[in-house]
Amino acid sequence: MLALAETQATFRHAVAGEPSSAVAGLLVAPRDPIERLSIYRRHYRESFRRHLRGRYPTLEWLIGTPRMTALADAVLEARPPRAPSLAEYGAELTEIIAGPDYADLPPYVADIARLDWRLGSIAVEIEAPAIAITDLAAIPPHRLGDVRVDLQPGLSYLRSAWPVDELVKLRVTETAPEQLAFAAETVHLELRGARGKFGWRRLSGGEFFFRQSLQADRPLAAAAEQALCDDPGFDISAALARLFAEGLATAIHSPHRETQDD
Amino acid sequence: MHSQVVSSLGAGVGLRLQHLAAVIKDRPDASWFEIHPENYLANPYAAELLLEIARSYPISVHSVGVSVGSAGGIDRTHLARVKALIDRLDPIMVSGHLAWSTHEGDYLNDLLPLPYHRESLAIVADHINQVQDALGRPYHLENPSTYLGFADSTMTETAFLAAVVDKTGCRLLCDVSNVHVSAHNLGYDPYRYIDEFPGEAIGEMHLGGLEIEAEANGGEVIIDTHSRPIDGHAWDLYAYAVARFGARPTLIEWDNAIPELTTLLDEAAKADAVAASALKSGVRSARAG
Repeated sequence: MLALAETQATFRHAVAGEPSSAVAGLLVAPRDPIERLSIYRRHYRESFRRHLRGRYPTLEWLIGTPRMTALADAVLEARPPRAPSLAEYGAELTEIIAGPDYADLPPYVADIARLDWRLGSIAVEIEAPAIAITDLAAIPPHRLGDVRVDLQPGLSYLRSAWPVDELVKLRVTETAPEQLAFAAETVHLELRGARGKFGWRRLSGGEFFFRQSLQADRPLAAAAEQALCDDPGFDISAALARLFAEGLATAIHSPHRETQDD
Repeated sequence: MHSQVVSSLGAGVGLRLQHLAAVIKDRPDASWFEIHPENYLANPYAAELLLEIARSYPISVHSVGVSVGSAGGIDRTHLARVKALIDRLDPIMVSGHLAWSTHEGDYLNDLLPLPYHRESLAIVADHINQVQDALGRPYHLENPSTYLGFADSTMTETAFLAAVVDKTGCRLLCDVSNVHVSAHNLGYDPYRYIDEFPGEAIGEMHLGGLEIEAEANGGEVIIDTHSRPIDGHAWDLYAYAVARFGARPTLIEWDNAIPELTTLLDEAAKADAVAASALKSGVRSARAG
């Protein structure tokens, strides 16, 4: 009798890889045990294919179901899930599709995949109560540069050398033309979602890097510096006013004073 | 309080994500709902809706990821996340499967079968003790649907379940449809299986739809798809089980090709009617039916 760990290792390999002669000797069924094993093999692949296709609808729309299915199988083989929460599995696809095995695909598909993944992720978030810009009034002006600002959890920032948001829009609105002129154009996207809904809009480069930096927990001064690198005319006062007016800020943290969020 | 609530429950239905908003909006006449916690761990919006529903309906938590049969141990991180949700919901029951789904950290997203012998019994019992200690609640262990068995099994499934109950004090979830599926696929008598089932430990029953597939060798295999109405053979077996063990909270499971909620509620009403008839008629009539 094999130890249970060895039995499960053999069974797992037969389900996720190829059945070996070793597994046949372990199994019993009224008819062919290997044919019965194929049910588990099929369920394994089909459940992950279904999941990944659901998380990457625009990518599948672009590359077609056969290629998407093959891609899902490749992701599953290279990076199988490590946790039983399937909803959290699949971000690995965005790395794999950017690799050399997929160099024949259009150059923007990796960004499409990132956009699909992030839209699905932010849509299930819940927005926190927003704070007002007046909350900054308690911070002395010379300390403002050290302040960190928490943003809504359903925000994501994505920069692409292609207008990938146009493709998502065509899919979502089912308005794809027979032919589409699609040219390289750098876009800075702010994605915002909550409670089952999502949307996006384009930002200026300065605004994008400012907000992206704040989301990465950089202090205001460093975020402004990032923005100024892209846009020397960046106006931090106006950008802060817009950030709070849009309800994106949920807490402020000052290293010099414990604020209401702490 | 929960024991009083549970004893009076009619049949409930599996609550899936696509029905959350409809339940909050329409407040359907459902006895109780069962959820898979894994669907809520990374979905704050769904968890928010679920907590609202839990204020109005009894909720049972049915994990598909605890993997008490894994030789390599249970995922304590996952268990802690499930416990956090359970603590917020205060469910009437918590359950999971006699199966394994993880190996060396990889998650296979299926409920894979176990051989039944002394080593697997010790491992499953140890893991259920860990789960019950962590959750601070009794765990209801569900008999699996299977397509094959293991040559080195030395115990029947019912003997294995009885031994687990004896070693852990856990409760059992008798999935009647799984009994029908496994009995057909492995070639044993489902009624004898029910006769041998440790009925006093049953805290819940399940019913789910199935599909029949032709096999290359001319036979038929039943697939536990949860994608259709309950099969007639499963209804008959359910009546027999209710007549034998008494009524238990019973769940209608439907996880694929999910219909309108009213279809599930109609199946739950049918389960209540079948149970009432079986209790009136007794075991002999239930089997004849």
